[in-house]
Amino acid sequence: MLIEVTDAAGIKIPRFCYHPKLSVAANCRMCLVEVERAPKPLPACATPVMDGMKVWTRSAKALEAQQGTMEFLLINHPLDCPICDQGGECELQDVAMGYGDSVSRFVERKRAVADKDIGPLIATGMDRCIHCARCIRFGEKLPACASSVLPGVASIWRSVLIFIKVWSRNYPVM
Amino acid sequence: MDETTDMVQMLRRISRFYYSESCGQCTPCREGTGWLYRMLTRIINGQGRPEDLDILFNVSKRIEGRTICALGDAAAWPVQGMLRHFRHEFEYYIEHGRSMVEGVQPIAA
Repeated sequence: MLIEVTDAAGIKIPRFCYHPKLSVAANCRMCLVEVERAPKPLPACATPVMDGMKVWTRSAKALEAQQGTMEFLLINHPLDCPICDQGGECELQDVAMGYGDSVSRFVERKRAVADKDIGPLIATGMDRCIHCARCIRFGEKLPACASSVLPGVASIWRSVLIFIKVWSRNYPVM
Repeated sequence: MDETTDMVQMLRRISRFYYSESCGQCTPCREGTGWLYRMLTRIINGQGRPEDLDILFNVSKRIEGRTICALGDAAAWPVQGMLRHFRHEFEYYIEHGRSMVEGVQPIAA
């Protein structure tokens, strides 16, 4: 895929749902880039590399697509980063610094949803979820925790947590 | 539909449909359809601002062509078409807080 090539070449493309060890979902639309002879911007994480293809990752069209996605992701995300536990080590915050607007055009009320109870070891803040679906795809790789159907089995979750920690240290996202 | 149809309410009904039907997989459609619907609801409730029409158009442009399937395009195009052909009805709503069509009943959305 295109994003593997650009990563190897040191070209930064913003992304949320892509992870090298997970299946491709292409649902966050953050990695949209302009490709020659393509009428629409294409997601770098789901576009195969072809001989002689020309790609612009920072053209006006690509940047507009990335900024549009960033705005959509932020309209329903709380903007109270200073009180958030994840503030300062947050991928969304990092990318928003580069691609987000400083002022929101969204004046309506934000979506609010109840937090999910998936056992004592993992806390959820579903208001802040940006639906990258990485947790779901991670769960698909581990049959024991697919779809969070085993919330009471603490030992499984503990091993999952350790696995997540080790795994994310070995394969950092950006 | 004829000249007694309130096109703004019509568009809100269309946007409500796409807001409900969006599967939520990809970002522009999931967030954008809800934004369009909420903005149109606000205009119909008489709280529209003059800049809302440009935002409405720009949001639909940011959905169009950026989604995995065509539902995002289908949600964006009615907004662009209505704004192109019936912009005066939207402006009347924003200015006067009510429909320019006489005796129009609120339709369910």
